[in-house]
Amino acid sequence: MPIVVFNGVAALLLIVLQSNFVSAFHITAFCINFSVISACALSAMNAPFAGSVFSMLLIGAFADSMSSGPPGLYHLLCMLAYFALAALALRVRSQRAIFIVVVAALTCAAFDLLYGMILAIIYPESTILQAIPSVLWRNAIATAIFTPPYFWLISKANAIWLIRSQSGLRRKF
Amino acid sequence: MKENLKRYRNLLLVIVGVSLPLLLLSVQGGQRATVSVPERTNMFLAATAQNHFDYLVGNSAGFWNAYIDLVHTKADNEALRLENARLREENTGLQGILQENARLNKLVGFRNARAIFELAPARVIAADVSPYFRVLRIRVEAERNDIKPEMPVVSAEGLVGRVERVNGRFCDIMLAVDPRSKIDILTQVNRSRGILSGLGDDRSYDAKISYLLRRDEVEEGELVVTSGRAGSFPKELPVGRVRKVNSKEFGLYQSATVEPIVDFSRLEELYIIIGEIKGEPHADSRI
Repeated sequence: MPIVVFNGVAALLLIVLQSNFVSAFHITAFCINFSVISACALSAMNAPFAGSVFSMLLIGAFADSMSSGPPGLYHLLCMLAYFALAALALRVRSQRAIFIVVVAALTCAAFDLLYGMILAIIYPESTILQAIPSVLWRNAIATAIFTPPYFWLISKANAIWLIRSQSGLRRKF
Repeated sequence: MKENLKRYRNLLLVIVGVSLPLLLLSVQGGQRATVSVPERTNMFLAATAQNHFDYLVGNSAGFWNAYIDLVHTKADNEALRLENARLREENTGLQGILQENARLNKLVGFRNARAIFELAPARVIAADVSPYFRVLRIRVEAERNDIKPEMPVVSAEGLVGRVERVNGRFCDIMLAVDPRSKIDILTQVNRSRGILSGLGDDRSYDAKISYLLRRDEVEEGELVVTSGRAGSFPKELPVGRVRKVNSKEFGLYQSATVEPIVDFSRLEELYIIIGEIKGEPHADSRI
């Protein structure tokens, strides 16, 4: 369970911080999809399913309130990304870094493709369709690059928590 | 019953996980301008967090940007020196035109009809998390309840965009270069009319003018201003400069690429146009 809490707190903080960084450091558009990375982390680290669903509901709602477009759409895609990754984790039990990075990049690309296509249908007169290819590869690469440090952060926090709770138990008995 | 609940627990969680966002999607019917209670709470929490982090990130960005500015100072100085010389020359010519204009105005009894607007100052605190939109979140400096969606937003340079949604002191601003934005514009010299829309390009903030009549003469470098005919934008607000004209040999229309006059990446302070001031305006809230 602590992994769900660490992941939730880290994802929420990073989403807010990134939105500030983007405007403060003059970056044209948003790059790293922390919702996808956190969904990857929850499924790859075998976090409890119920806790993970609630964590993703919270992260998705928070990210959705910071995104434009139809309310609830970003949230829905976050949930779908998590369920797809959780289903994949049931079949493929690999903890290899390269596999996780590739899965994160592909999920991010699928997320952005679906999001862009739905937006293009909702706003038919917009130029969103033309922007999809460049958004796809740029966000997928940025997300893939930031996946290993995020996993390292979460697993370290989890390890520290486990060591502390075990030493507390030893003192009790 | 308990056994069944345990067996179908995961399925129930999946249903809850999908139905909650779907419910939000259906409650508001895809419209962001009307903010529902759960969304208002969410937006308030997110905007408050963004507002607090803005101080932290803003300060660190300040150091970095100061360094970057220093690196470009020499080139900027040279460019400014040349521009200054050109402007001095232009100014000399304009002095004569101004005097002539004043003389002619006096002759025909012309009244200065330039509108004076009531402005609400605001500060950029964050950007949108979606990669497809060009939206900024701002904090209005003073508490006020007369800010509404669709109100125009400007900076000292020109048009920034329009208010997309409002929640207390926090507003989301759809930039003029957002892929969904459509603004009725005119080219300043030739008065060619067209529709400006954002390109959604990830490397630049360029926009595109479509529906320019093919027979209209549009020149590169020409200033583009709001027409004031459709929507909520006042007339003659500078929008950008024509970078490239894509003229065709046949057809009714031509298009052009526009470089915005406002540097959206460096936006910090901006103003929401609340409305025109009737009578004598206050000294601190007008343009």
